[in-house]
Amino acid sequence: MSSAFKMADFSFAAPIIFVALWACVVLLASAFSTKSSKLGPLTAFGFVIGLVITGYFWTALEQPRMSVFSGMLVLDRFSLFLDMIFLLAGLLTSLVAHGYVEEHGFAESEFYAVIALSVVGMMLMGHAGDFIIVVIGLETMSLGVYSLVASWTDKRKSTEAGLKYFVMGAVASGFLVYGIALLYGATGSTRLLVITSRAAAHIGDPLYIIGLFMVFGALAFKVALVPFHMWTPDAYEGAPTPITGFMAAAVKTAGFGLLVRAVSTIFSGESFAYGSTGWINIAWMLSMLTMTVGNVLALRQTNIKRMLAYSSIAHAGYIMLGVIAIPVLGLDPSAVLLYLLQYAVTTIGAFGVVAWVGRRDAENTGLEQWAGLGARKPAAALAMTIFMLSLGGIPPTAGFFAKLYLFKSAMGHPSLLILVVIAAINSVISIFYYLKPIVAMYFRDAGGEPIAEPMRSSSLSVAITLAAIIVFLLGMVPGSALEMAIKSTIGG
Amino acid sequence: MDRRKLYVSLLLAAAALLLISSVALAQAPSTSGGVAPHAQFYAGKLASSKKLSPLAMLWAMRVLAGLMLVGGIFTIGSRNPVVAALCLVGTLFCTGIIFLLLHATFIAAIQVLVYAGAIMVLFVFVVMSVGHPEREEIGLSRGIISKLIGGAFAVMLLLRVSPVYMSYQRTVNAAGEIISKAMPPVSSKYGNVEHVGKLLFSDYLFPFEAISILLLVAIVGAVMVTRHRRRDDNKGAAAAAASAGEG
Amino acid sequence: MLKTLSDLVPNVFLAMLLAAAAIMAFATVNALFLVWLERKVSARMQRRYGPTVVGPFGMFQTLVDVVKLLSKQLISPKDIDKPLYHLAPIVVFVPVVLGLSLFPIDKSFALVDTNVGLVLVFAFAGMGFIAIFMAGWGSNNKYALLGAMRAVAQNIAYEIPLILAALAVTMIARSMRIADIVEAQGSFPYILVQPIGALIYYISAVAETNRAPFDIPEAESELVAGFHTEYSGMRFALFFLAEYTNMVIVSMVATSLFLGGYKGPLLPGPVWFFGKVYFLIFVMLWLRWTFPRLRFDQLMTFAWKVLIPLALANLLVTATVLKVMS
Repeated sequence: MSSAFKMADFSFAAPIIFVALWACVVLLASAFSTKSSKLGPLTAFGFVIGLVITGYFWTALEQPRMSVFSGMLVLDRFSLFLDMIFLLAGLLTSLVAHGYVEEHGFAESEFYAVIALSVVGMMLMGHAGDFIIVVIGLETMSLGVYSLVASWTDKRKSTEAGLKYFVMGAVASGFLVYGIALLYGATGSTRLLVITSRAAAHIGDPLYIIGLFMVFGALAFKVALVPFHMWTPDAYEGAPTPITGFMAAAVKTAGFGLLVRAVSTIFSGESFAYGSTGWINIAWMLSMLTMTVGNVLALRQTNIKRMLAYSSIAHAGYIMLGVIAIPVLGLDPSAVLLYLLQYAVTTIGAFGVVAWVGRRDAENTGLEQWAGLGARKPAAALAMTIFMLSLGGIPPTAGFFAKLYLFKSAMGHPSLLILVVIAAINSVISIFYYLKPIVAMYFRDAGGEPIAEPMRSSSLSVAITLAAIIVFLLGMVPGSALEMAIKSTIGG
Repeated sequence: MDRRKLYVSLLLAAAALLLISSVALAQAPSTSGGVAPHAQFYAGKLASSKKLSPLAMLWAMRVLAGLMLVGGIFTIGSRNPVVAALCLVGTLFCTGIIFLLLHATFIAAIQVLVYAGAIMVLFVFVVMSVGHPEREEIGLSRGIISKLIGGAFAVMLLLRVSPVYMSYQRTVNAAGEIISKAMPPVSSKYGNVEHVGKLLFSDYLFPFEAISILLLVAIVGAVMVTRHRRRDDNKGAAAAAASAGEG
Repeated sequence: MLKTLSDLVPNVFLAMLLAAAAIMAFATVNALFLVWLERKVSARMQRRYGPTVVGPFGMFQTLVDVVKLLSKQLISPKDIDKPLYHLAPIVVFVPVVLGLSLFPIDKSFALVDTNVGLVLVFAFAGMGFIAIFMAGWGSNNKYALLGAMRAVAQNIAYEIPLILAALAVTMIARSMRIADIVEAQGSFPYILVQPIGALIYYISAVAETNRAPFDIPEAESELVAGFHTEYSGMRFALFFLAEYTNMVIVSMVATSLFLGGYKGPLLPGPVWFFGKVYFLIFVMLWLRWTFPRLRFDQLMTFAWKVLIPLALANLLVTATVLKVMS
C-alpha cells in the first residue's frame, strides 16, 4: 500500500480504456443493428483512433517509465510500441475479417467486439507491472482468441481447433498461475519489480526457480516454441483465416512482449540467466529447436495455412534469438520490436491473401488450387509474392531488414554466434517453401482445374494494400521505424 | 480405481470435513477488529486460551492439505464424472477451510459460496446434462508415457518444493514457539471485509476493473461460439435475430 | 456485548458438541411442529380440520408419523450409485446444521458470531444443492434426475437476486456480521428502507427452498416426488427435515435483515426473533396453499428477466442514495 491510486491514473491508461470502450460500442452496435455489414469498418475505425492515442502517448511520454495504479500498470515506450503493433494487427484483422465474414457468412455479430476485447487483453499484458494484470490480460486475450477460433460454428474443423486450443491453453494458464503462486510463495509479492528486487535473496531457492520456469513454459506455449507447439498447426488451420493471421501476429507479439518484460525483470539476475539451470541455456535450445523444427516441417506442407502455421513457429524461433540477446546486450529490445512489427504486418497480409482467394464453399488453401493465379489476378499474386519474400527475408522487404538487424544485434555477443549461424541456415531453408506458392502462382498452369479467384471486398483489398505498403516501406526506408524501435526502451 | 475404496475415502473425507469445518468455524474471529495476524497464528500467541494450539492448527492444516491432494487426484483420476465433480467440491471446500484457518474469513466464505457453491453447481449441471457415467468415461489417459512424464515432474516438484515447505514448518518447534521470521507480520485487520474491500478499491482497483473486461469477453465469446445460425438463415437475418432472441 | 457459545463454554470440543446437540434438537422439534402446522394450515384453507386425534389439536400426529417412518423398511432400488445414494440424505443435512448456528437470537447471544456471517449462510445454503444432485444422480431414476436438474437450474437462477437483495442491506448496515445488521436497524426495520429488496429476497428465498409455487423440482403431477422419489423411510424423512430446516434458515435471514431480528418492544429478544421467523414461515405455508405451481419456463423467465434486473436496479438505487446521503 505504498501509494494509493489517483484519479489521474485513469488518464494514463487511456489507450487501454479507449479500446475497451470502443469494444463495448461495437458490441452495442452489433446488438442493435440487424445487419453486421458496418461492424468491421467500425471496429477498424476504433483501432485507428486507438493508434493515434497510443502514438500521442508514445511521443508525449516524458519519463522513461511511469508506474500507475500503484504499480499495476507500467507505461514505457516499449509497451506503447507493443500497443501499436496490437492495434495495427487488430486494424488489419478486422478489415480482412470483414470481407471474409461477408463472403462465408458464418460469424455472429459479436465477432468484431471479441477481436477488440482480446486486443485489450494484449495491451494489458504489454503494460503489466504486476502478475495479477498479467493473468487478467492473458486470459482476456486467450478467451477471446479461443472463441474467435471456434467462431465458425458450421465448420467442424473450426470447433475442433477452438477446443484443442482451449484445452491446451487452459493447461498453460494453469502453469502460469502455479508459477506465479510459487514466485509469490518465495518472495511475498506479485509485483514484477518487487519480485525482482527480492530475487537476490532467492538464488538457488527451488520455489523461485521452479516458479520462473513455469511462467516461462506458459509463455513459451503462447508463442508456440517447439516442445509447446503441438496445438499450433491444428489451431491455425481450423481457425477462420483472418483469425489465424491475428493469432500469428498479435498473440505471438503479446507473448513475446511479456517474455521480454519478464526477461528484463524477474529473470534478470545473473544467477538465473547463466549456469546449468540458467534460462538462457534452455531458451537457446528452444530457439534452435523451434526454428529448425518449424522450417523442416513447413517444407512438407501442401496446405498454405498449415505451411504458414509452421512458418510462424520458425519465426518464433528467430524472435526467441532476439529475446535471448536482450539481457546479453544490455536490455535493448529494439531488434525484437522491429521484427515483431514487420512479422505482424507481413503475416496478417499473407493470411489476408489466403482469405482473399477463398470463395464460399471453397477455401482454396491447397497449393495446387493456386496454380495460375498470377495470370488471372495479378494484384493478389503480387501481394502474396511480397509477403512471401518478406517472410523469407529477401530484400527489399521488411523481413529482410528486420532479420538482418536482429541477427546483427545478436552477433554482438560471441555466445550467440552459433545460434545466429543456425538461424541463417534456417532462413535459407525457409526460402525454399516460401517460393512454393510463388512458383505455383506464376509458373504453373491452371489446366482444367477450377482456379481460385479472389472475392470482391473493398475492405479486404484495403487491408492487403496497406499491409503490402507497410512491408515495402519498412524494407526500403526503415530509418524512422528503426529509430522508433530504438527509442522504445524498457523503462526501469 | 476401486469404487468402493474411493467412496469409503470420500465418506471419511466428508466426516473429517464436517469436524474440521466446525472447529474452524469456532475458531473464526468474532469481532471485526481484533483479528490475530497469521504470523501470530504460527507463533502460537493467539489471544485467548480457548483457541486451538498452533500445533493443532498446523495438524489441521496438514490434514486439510492431504484431503485436498486426495480430492485433486480423484478429480482428475476418476473415470466417473460425478465423482470427479464431487471430489472437486471437496477440494474447494478444504481450500475454504484453510483460508478460515488463516483468518481470511471473508475469502473463505466467498470461496465456499462462489466455488464450492455456484461454480460447482454449474459443473454438476453440465455433468447431469451430458449423460450416464458408464457411457461417458473421462479421466486420465492410459498412455504410459504421459503418465511417466507427469509422474516424474510431480516427483521432481515434490523433491524440490517439499524441503522448502518443511523449512517453513520448522518455524514452529514442538513447544509452539516461533523460530524463524519467515512469516512477515501483517495488519491486525487482516482478512476481514473492510480490509479486503479497502485493498480492492485502492491498490487493486485497476485489476478489479480489468476483470470486468475478462468476464465480458468470456460471456460474449461463449455466446458467439454456442449460438447456432444455419447458413440459409443468412438470407433473412431478421428471422435469425428473432429466433436468437427467443432462444 | 454479544456472547457466543465459545465464550460460555471454554472447551472447543465441548462447545461443538453442545452446539451440534442444540441444533439437532431444534431442527427435529421444528420439523415436527412445522409438519403439523402445514397440515393444519392447509386444512383450514380448504375448510377441513386436519389432524385432530393424537394429542391436543392433533399435535402429536407427526410424532406418530415419525415412528411409522422409523419402522418402515428402507428400500434401496437396484442399479443405484450406492455411495451417492446413501450419502445424499446425510450431506443434505450438513449445510443446514452449519447455517443454523450463525444467527443471534438475542441481543446477547448467538451460537457462533463471525464478521462474515451473512456470506457464510449463503455459502452453506448453496452447498445443499450438491446433496440434491447426489440424490438425483444416485437414484438412477429419470424422475429423480429431472427433479435434480430442475433444482440446480432453479438454484442458479434464484441465488443471484437473493444475494443481490441481501447485498443492498449489507451496504446500508455497512457490515456482513448478522449481529451488526440487526443492531443497525435502530428504531425501524430495514423492510421500510428496502421494501423492494425485501420482496425480492422473500420470493427468491421461497424459490430456493423449492416450495410451492416454486416446487418444480418435486412437482408431484410430473415427477412423482422429484429428486427424492427413490427414498423411503427415514432417508426420506431426512430430506423432509432438511427442507423444513431450510425454510427456517431463509426466514431467519429475512428476519435478521429486514425485520429487525430480535428487536421489539416489551417481550424478550428470542420471543420476537422466533415470532417473526414463524410468521414468515406461516406466510410460506399460506403461499403454498394459495398459488398454483409455475411452469418451468415461467419460473426461469421470472428470475432472469424480472427479479435479477429489479434486484440490480435496487442495488444501484441504494448505492446512489447512500452516496448522496453520506
